[in-house]
Amino acid sequence: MFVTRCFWDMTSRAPLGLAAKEALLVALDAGWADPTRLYGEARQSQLLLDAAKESIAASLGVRADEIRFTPSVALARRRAVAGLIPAARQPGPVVTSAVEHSTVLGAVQAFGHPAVAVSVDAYGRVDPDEFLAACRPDTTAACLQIANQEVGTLQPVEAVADGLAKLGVPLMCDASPAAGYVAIPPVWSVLTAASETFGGPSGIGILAVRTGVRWNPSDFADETVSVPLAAAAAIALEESTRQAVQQAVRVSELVDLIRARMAAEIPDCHAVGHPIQRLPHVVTLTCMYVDGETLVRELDRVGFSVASGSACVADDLLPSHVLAAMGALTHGNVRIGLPWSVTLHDVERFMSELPRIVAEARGRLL
Amino acid sequence: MTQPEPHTLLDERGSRCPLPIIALSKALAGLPAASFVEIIADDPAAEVDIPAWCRLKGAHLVDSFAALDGQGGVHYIVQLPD
Repeated sequence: MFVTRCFWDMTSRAPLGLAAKEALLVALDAGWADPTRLYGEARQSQLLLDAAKESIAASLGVRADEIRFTPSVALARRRAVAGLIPAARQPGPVVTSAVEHSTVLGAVQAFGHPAVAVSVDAYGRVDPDEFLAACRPDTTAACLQIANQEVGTLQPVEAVADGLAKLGVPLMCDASPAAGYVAIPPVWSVLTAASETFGGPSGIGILAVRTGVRWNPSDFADETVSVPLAAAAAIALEESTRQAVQQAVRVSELVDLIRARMAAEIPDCHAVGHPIQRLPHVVTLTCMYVDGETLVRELDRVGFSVASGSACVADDLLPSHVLAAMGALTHGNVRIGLPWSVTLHDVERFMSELPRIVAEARGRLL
Repeated sequence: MTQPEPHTLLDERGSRCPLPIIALSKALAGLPAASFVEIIADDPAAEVDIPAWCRLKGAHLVDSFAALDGQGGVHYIVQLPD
């Protein structure tokens, strides 16, 4: 029987959208040269790079000269931290949420700088008052993601922004995997985003630094990035942002449907992450008494590509720091990141398969 | 801590998530209200999963402490709700 594949892991690395693919092919022909050189081919590359910056700036609501590209989002996060810490007036700790992306937490740690991690509730959300209470006038920087990468919960970045501004503390916001799916509140000082999560190519990261932010620019090599990848990322962000306007409500209702049917139809299963303050396309499901890897393999057999949040697949056996901070079960997790093209029919087919898959997986273990 | 009533002891050292939780759930199934089960586990994920499971199922994690027999792992004492 022929089964349509449903790629439901948009928060990891999404397939290249059609417009982005076309932009990539055009830019491979026209933008291969090193844009820093002085000949005609280089000037053409530079034009394409400038256009990509302008496009991304427009999508994010900033100025083009505030956009930088990096060879990956992980590098963008490290450079964000490395740009903020040495430039700070005061040597106080960096304040983060406990559920920041591990590369943000790792970058702060690698810098050898003191850090304070603010705890989250069972939905993975920080309390804005608690977050601000952890910040002082000598705080080097605050790091608060737009939305959590594992459970999709939105963080109260707007609620902390005023207080941080009064203290003079810069705010770093990691916008992956939110960019292209929700409007990014323009309250950040430094922003990072991942091209591969909004239908752009991997191998290119976005770093935006607001004019006037105290910043150490020493660690920059913007010219080493691939111009074709930057051009494709820009078109992908435009396209996903446009789709969000048309599709976010519909897709969010499909997530509501998955959450409700899951809890009602499968014993000892529930969704983790905030039911309302969340990305429109992300939901993480927990099924007790199974391991997430088994669910991922069985769902793959019936045409669904989803991610496992399970600790059991990691080599070091350490549970996810996000799920641990939430007090959630770290086994039996399946993370879904829906594409804008998802249909009600896809969701119904998923819900017709999942109860059997969970029951069979439990039957093998119990 | 006062010593709880006589209870089941499960040694789940060496088994990986979600097996310790399954063993715990099976051991508690059918026991009368307020019964105790003690489980020893050395999977690092159990440090998160056993408290999370107790919260989701309304059970009470009475105590947890490192094993003293030199074989590693952590003891968890779980009580069913009244």
